[in-house]
Amino acid sequence: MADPAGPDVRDTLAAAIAELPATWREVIIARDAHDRDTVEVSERLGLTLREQRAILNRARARLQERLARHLTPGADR
Amino acid sequence: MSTAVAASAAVPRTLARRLVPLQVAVGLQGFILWVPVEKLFMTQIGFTPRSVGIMAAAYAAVVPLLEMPSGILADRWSRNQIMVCSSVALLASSLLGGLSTNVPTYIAAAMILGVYFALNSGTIDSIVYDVVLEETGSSDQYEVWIGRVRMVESGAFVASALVGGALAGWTSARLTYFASLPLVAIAVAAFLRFDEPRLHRAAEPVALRRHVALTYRTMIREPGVRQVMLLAALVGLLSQAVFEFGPLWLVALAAPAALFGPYWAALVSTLGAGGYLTSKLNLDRRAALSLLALAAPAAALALTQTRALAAVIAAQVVLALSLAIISIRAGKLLHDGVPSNLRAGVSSGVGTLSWMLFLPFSLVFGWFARAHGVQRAGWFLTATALLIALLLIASVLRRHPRPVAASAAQPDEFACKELVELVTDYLDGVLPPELKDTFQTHLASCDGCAEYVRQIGLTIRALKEAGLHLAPRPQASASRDPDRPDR
Repeated sequence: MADPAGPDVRDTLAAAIAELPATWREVIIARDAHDRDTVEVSERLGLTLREQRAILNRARARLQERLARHLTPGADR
Repeated sequence: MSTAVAASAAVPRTLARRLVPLQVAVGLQGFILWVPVEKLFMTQIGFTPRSVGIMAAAYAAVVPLLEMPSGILADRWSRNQIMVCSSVALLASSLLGGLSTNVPTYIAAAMILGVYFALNSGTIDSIVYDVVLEETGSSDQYEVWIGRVRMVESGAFVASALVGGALAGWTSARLTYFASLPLVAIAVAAFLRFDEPRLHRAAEPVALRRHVALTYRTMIREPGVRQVMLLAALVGLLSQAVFEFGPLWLVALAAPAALFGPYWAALVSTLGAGGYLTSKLNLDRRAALSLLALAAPAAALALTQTRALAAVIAAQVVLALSLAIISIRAGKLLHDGVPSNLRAGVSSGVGTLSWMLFLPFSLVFGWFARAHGVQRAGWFLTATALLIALLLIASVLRRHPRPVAASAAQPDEFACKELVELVTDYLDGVLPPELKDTFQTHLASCDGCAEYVRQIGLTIRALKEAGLHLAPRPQASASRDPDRPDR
């Protein structure tokens, strides 16, 4: 399994983030990369809290899907 | 490769604003002025009932042949560009139709119109679904928005029928073809301004052959998708039958000629009214859905029983209206079960299936109606409506738990799919206590989900580690995302 901070993961991650829809990208960068507050992010993007969380959930799932081969112990998932 | 990824423009977007150009474009595409006077124009340039039949056959051959390929192309290339191409086909068809002075050129124009319909089919609803998903994170508002788009479309149909008829009266039927051109050209411009969803392009690219195979496999092998596809195709078949054969009831009852106009307007307006009602009704309520499932066969049954003109018209309007609503519902169920990168292809598959069913249906219906009268042929409509009702009810029953990762049902009745949807709520600590318990119980007993949650944790960690390299969101002075078209 690759190191989550290693270059392989970073490159795949960057490519996967670039492919996300704009709103999803903004939400996940603000929330997960920059640790911004849920309410602040929602307000800035004009989303309800529920929408913001739903988007974050989908964006995380999409990135996990792309990173899976680096994160899965042993074989490809 | 740099890990710096620019966040996009600083304007907070709303779903409503993003869908405006799409609605404008759809409205303009629906505003085809020559539709109400087409038959008149065709007679003027020498069509006979026989050549009308040849034209219908040529047109009917083009649409189902091109639907699936154009849907798959929309998924692989760009749905927006497919809509631009469809507008260009409409433009070409209107121009060639308007220039026609004989039957063969007009048949060619009709075949180009078939290209327009094939490109259109399944594309708009796929676009709306993915935009809703991109802007809200869920498909909950899909029905509301596709309902609004249908209202715009149907409003354009009605308005173009009125304006087109009047214009042909003042000038000539031929002029309505040319008058439609600038409107369609504006539709092209509106599609170009639309910020297309990109979800269908986010997955890793696959070879064409594999993509085609994947699309067909999704339609044929997934039981849930198969059932919903059949539902959607039957709804398409039955609505087409109502529009095609409905007037025969009025003919059989010797309705006065003046009644046909308002009758037709009422029938056409059900498309928009269905869109409106869908945005008001909560179809997740079983009562609303059951009522809907009952209304269609009941209205069809009425057509086999009554000889009162008013009742016949009312029954047809109720039938068309309930079908318009069910079709939106079926669309949502279909899209919910299909990944973005296959969406337009599968959705176009419904159109093709509907055409394939309609051909034998219309032949049998026509033969039976001639032999035994149209009223008794109404039983074909009733049987189809019953089948639709059963499939609709079945869709409610199978709506919930469908495990994704683990195949065996969990003892706590909590499907893996539901867990996947709740992970962020769980990590944010906003799950209600009882759901949190179920979540944890499931997690403890399901290896697949435990691994999934672990990987989500690692993904978040990787994002944090990359945090410094990921460009912060630009403030007021927005830098533009190079991937996104100007809006």
